[in-house]
Amino acid sequence: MNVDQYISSGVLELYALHALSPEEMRKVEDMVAQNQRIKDELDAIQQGLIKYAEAYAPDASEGLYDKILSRISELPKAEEPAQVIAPPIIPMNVEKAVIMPEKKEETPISYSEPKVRSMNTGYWMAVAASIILLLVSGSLNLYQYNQNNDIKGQLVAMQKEKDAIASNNNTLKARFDETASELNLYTDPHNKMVMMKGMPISPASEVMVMWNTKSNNVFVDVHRLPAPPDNMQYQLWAIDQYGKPVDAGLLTPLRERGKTGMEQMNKKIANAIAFAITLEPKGGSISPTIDKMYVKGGV
Amino acid sequence: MDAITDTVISEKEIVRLLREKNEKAVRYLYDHYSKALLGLIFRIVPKQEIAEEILQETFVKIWVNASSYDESKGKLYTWMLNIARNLAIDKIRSSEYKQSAKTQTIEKSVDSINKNYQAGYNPDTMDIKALTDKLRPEQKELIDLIYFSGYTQAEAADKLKMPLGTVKTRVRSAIGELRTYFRSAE
Repeated sequence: MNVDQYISSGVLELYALHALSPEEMRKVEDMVAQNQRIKDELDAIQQGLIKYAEAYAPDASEGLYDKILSRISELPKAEEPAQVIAPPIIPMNVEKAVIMPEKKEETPISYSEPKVRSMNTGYWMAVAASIILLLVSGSLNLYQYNQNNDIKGQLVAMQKEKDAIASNNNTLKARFDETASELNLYTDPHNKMVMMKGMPISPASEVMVMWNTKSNNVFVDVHRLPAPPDNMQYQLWAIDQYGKPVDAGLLTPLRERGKTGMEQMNKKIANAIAFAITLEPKGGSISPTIDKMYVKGGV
Repeated sequence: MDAITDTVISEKEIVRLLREKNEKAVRYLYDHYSKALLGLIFRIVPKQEIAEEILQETFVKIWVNASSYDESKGKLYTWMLNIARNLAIDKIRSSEYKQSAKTQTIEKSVDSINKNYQAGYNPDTMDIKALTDKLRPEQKELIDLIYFSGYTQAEAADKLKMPLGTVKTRVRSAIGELRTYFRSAE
């Protein structure tokens, strides 16, 4: 290849732009060293490039050179390799420094790889950062999940507790209502309390009757009665001033009532001098079976 | 600019002075190359204050690392250019800069500065409009990619989807245009 051909190939321009591979660079160096015309051509190319870059430069601020000089004079005069962490020879195409411009004092300069490599480093750092973030986020999720489950468990427990309290409350309220109405029975001056005592067939039996002479309502409070056979039922009788028993209603079997305490009878009684309870066939009788009288008491 | 070193000094001599930590070398390099370096930095970081800070850093690095410059691996200007470009690229990649400017990439930055220049460039230094008119858009794109953004020949070919041979001839023709233009401007 003659000189003209070489010059017109464009390789010198690429050399000046530093866009050749290291081997290609070396070949150009050799040619430049051997031939003055090639060297002149290269210088001219570089001048063209310098002018081109200069064309973009803003007017430098006043005192820029002095700033540079003062920064340089702040540096140690002698060659102090300790200041620079660098291999003895750095190929200029891999020369790259990271300096934080704000720092006034000169900090050790660290070298990294050229542009493409540094992008890889950045990429891997980004990957590493992503993985760390993922792990952190994952463990946070796990923590949140566990926390969530804990809270769910607590919520269920609290719900149960709440239900228990509510049902307890209902029980208490019902009991309170009962007690209150019972209390009304006792405090109402129209109420007559009749304690029916056990007859010879069941001396231990005792049933209390509360009879309201105004409203004619009758309540019974079974203190003690033997459980009736399945086909039998207790029946309350009111005995009027003529000694005639009047049906005052059937007692709900104790186990059906599910509670002890006052029970309002479904019949009203206007006149009574005494009350009695007999054991009758299920559904009750028109007249009491006298020999099956369990309790009796006078008003 | 009052140049102390008007006389032409060989690159070898400058490098020797630089390695001896002679401040004359700084004066010479500043007079001959600072404007081009600032132009390059400003193409990447289009903020004058920051660009000038990067230029200061560039000279500090040139001063400190003179011993690591290898003459067999390229011209002194190219070496300084690489230092300046890397510092500028580091700067625009830094989170602190990204926060202050919305510029994300070198390409974008170079592109946006192109547009800025169309609007209001200081005309007493160079008629950039005339210069960019001289270059065809594809020539300019290629030169800017390699020169300002630091692409290698192969990377540029890849980016612009053209054969390596075309990169070579196109770079040559583009620089040819530049040389003709600056010769006539002198």
